[in-house]
Amino acid sequence: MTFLTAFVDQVPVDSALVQAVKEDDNWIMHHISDKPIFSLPPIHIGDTVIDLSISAKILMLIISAVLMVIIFAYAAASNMKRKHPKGLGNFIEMMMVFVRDDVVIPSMGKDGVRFLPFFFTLFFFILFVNFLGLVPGMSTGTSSISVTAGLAIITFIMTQVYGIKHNGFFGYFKGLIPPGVPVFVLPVMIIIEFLGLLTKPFALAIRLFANMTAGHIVIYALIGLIFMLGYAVIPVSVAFSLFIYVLELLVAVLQAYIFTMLSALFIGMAIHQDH
Amino acid sequence: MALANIFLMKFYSVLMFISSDPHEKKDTLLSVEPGLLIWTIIIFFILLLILKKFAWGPLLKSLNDREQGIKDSVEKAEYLKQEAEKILAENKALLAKADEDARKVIAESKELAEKLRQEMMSKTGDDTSRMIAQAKGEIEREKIAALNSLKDEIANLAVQAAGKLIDENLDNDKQRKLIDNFINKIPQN
Repeated sequence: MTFLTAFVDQVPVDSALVQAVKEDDNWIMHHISDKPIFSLPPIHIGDTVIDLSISAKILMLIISAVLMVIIFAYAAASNMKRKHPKGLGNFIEMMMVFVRDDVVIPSMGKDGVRFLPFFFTLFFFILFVNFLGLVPGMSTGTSSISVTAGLAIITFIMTQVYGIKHNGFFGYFKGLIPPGVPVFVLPVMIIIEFLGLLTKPFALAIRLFANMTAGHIVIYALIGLIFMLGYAVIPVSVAFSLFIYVLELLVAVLQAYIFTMLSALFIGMAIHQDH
Repeated sequence: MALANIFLMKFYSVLMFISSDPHEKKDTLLSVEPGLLIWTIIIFFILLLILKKFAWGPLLKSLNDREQGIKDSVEKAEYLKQEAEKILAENKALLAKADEDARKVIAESKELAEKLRQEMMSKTGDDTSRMIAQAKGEIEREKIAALNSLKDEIANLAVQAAGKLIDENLDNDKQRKLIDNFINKIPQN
């Protein structure tokens, strides 16, 4: 990383941030990665170390959750009071109808109605965490692979539990292999289908994480250009940062939508294996 | 070129960061931290439980109630519309029937009136002709009576004239004059 510092040395700008850039190769990563806030002693289970300390990202998740409880409980109270919802309650109901009619029911049919609370929570939780991450000075919970992996694991567990519940234990795993497969291909198919089970949540986690991280890295890189090339690039940097920021607003909604839709699709496929 | 170099360097730096030493777990981008993962799952399920009770339940209930209400209203409106259309059709049929009845009644009464008029006309005609015939008969009778009385008168006059002739010994001239007078006195018919 010395060449980066060497390059910064040529820039005739001197500030704390330039100093930071000079001293630290990975300043972007430090902005994106997690920071401990409240430390707890780590738990050792065999080789793995589980550190349950409250970090910045966990704090963001908790803030999102608290905000959601306040906003949705308020909306629920407001909607129950009057016959025609208005204001916030109306807006939230519109979003709920969108999730129900355009995300869950097309993906898994009428069975989805049973799972609506789960999908609402999933969709709005991802949406809130994504949006809060766009507020300056806050950290993006979903730009950590651990958080997205946690969400993907929840979907994975739901998929397996309801697949087994609906089709029976043996029926579910038998149904994973498409009918009419010749016997000699079976060993290969079993491996492929088993891997398929695991790749689905893996793809979910990576997709959300990468989408929410990429925008931030690009914005930081664009801002960093100012301190590397001088103040002349400020208009370009700011314009591009703004563009990426607006794009991130779109991505924040889009990724929440995609995550929810794919989760609904996977659970629906596990319940109805025949198609 | 300088800009391209910087981007390449950044890219390299990110790559280095992602694939950095596995012992420095805190700093890598793609390493899964079990603590964060567990916290995510815990927070999600607590949120799910709280929201299910305080938000999704009431929100979905109000939404479903309203949707059901709208559906019911639309169905009721549809039913009422059909009812109204049925009643309208019935009313139209009734109106048409009443119209036809009225027309029939009018036609019947017209016919009756015509018949009555004709009857009256024929009756009056009969009466008149009978009266005329009666009058004619009367006149004929009167005429005959008048002629009869005239004949009597003539006979009387002839008897008187004959008596006078006998009484006064009339000459030829006088006689002629008398007869002429007499004939002149006779009415023409």
